[in-house]
Amino acid sequence: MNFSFSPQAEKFRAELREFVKNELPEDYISIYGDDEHYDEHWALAMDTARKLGQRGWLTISWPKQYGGMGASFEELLVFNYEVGYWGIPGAGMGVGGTAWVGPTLMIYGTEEQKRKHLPLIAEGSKDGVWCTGYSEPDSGSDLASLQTFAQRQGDKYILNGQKIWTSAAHRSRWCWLAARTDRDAPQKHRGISLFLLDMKSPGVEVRPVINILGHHHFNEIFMNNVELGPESLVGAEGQGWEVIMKALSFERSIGVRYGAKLKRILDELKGFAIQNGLLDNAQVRHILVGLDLEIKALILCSYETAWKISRGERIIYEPSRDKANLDGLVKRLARFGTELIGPYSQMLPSKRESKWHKLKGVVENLYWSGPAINTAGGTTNTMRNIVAKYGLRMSA
Amino acid sequence: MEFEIGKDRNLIKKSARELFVKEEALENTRDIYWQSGGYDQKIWKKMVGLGYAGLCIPEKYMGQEGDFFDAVLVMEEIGRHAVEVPFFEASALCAGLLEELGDEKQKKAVLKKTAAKGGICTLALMEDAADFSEINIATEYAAQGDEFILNGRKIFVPYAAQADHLIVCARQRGSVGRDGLAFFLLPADAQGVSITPMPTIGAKKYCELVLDGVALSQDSALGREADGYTVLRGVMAKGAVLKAAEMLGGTQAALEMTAKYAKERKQFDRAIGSFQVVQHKLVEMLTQIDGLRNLVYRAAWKIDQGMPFLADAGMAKIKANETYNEVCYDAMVLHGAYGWTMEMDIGVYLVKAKDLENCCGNNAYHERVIAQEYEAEAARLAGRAG
Repeated sequence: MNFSFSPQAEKFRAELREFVKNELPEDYISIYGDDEHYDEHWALAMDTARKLGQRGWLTISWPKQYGGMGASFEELLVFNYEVGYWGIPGAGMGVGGTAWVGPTLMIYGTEEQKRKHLPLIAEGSKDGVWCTGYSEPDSGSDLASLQTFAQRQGDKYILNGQKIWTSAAHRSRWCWLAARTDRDAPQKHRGISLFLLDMKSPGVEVRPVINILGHHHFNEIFMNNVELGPESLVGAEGQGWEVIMKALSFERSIGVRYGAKLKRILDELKGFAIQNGLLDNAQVRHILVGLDLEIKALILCSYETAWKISRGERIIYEPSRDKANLDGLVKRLARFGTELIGPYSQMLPSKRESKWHKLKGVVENLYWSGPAINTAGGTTNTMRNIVAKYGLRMSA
Repeated sequence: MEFEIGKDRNLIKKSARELFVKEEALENTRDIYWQSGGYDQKIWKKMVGLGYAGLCIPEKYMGQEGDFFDAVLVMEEIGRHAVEVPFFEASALCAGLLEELGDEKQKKAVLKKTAAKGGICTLALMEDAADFSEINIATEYAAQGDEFILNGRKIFVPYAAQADHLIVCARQRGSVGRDGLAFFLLPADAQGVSITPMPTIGAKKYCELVLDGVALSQDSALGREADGYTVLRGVMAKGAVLKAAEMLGGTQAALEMTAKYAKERKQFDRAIGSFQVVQHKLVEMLTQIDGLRNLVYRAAWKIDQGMPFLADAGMAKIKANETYNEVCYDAMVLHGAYGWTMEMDIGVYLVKAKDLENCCGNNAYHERVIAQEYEAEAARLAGRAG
């Protein structure tokens, strides 16, 4: 049993903190989803991504041949924690580039796909920015019912259909896209394939969907007779569901990064409580300490999951457990935080630099973003179904 | 970073589990709770024979010289099988306190007896205020000639009626707040000591202890030079981690038996465990228990590493209090009316809830301690910045 990080990982942490101090604006604090909205935020994100890429940190745990540093799982955990805590922008390379497009391509991609895409992500290039095209207007939690169709023509595919809730699609060069290739498959999830879609392809149209915070984060993607070459297919035709499940297990392994994000907000609130003498209030102590220990438990569970993976253990339900747990904590922290700052929590989230905003608007932004975090990557209830099935062996 | 608890430790855990299963600990506890009272003498005797009673006691007093984490693992198994033995009181808490504060003579008298014979030493802390606040200790001591005279009343003292020795926390007459707190070791049958069992639910182990002009020789004092307040905080925190480990074991057992029951019990022609509303409740339990395990193990690891541990210990106990109450209460509800009878095992686990929750600090106590740690940390950071 050892809960401490290796000296090497701690050294890396110190370097990252130095990077934050030198490269990010003073007292920088990020909020969910506004990097894609503002041009200047996006510029900072891409600039930071390039700097991280130059140091080899953006994809630190990837093998060297794909632009990584072959670092240990402990260094990856440190990277994820610090990125979450300080809100280092650009580390995602869009939505999924570093976290699941790269790692899943390493498993299912051809050598050519890996050689083409992985270095672009690792370098922080604008051609390595990804969005993820799963959801459709009628296919949310029941993802396998998706209707976007890639019809085979010789060795090519002709793509038609619509995606929605596609985060950062307007900033992305590529889309990690799920489409149906066989409408007659005996089971609906057997007829799905995974494609790499160049967002510059003729027939691709992106339209904004503005969220309740006023941010342009989501999009619709319309695909009208888009031609996909054979090099666009990941894995075999019809193997898409397996590829998606693998990618989703990476996507749901967000306990460390998001746990650290919550820890940062909690620390801000802790400072606020100390400054205002609120720790004398038993109710405040009760909720603050309760959240602190729950966030700690979430992060420890996520460390444990990463440790299991590093030993080659097969992980099935743990990321879903942590995602569902995170969802609950987002709500608890956001409710507590907004109550603590009181009426100021109703200030407009998108104008968070005003003199009326407390803690740079980070608390109310969490509150308004909470429902989206719950839904992203699979809803809380979907996560619970997975844990029931694979963690407790309960049958439907 | 390493989450494996290790081969030797797994062995400690596994053999404890085998012993408790073989000796039908749960059945014995059911009998103790609903009929006989006291503790599980058969299992305690075996634990003495197998070296568990002296697990954390130095070899020279016939112990196994294990570390704190070893004791935590045994507590987890005790919780899992709802075992009623004075391991927590004698082998872990008092043995640790004596090791920290005791002189050679005191250690020899008490530790050897616990390790070799299962002698019980118990700690008397709580008083009428029942708020865990160290500063509300009113039991007094005063020097008189070459003796100490103790007066006061302790409540919820575990196994006092079966104990050989008592460790009493008292304050010097006239002292207030954090000052003047000290510990005394005395035989349970000392003149002026009267012990009355309290009618609690579950194990009838708690007693009221009245100290009426108890005269003790100078060598009864434990660690005269130590700061009693700091020692007391440490004892509460270590006890909290041990109790949290017991609660971890208990909640794991409660989840397992409830998941099993949900798969077997049929209503509307299907297992109730096939309903999502039941599944999600069980998933919530699993999630909370996995978090609790990491908090408990981390606090125990910190203690063995010699790191500061007050906040970690408190967090583990608060998480245990929350998880234990939620899991065992909901587990009983999922068992339906059957759960609310003496027939079903789940009742044994729920009946322990309030004992475990209140032992070594409830949420409010630990929240106060942790808030003080927050403020100290903020002051340190401000000092560094300034």
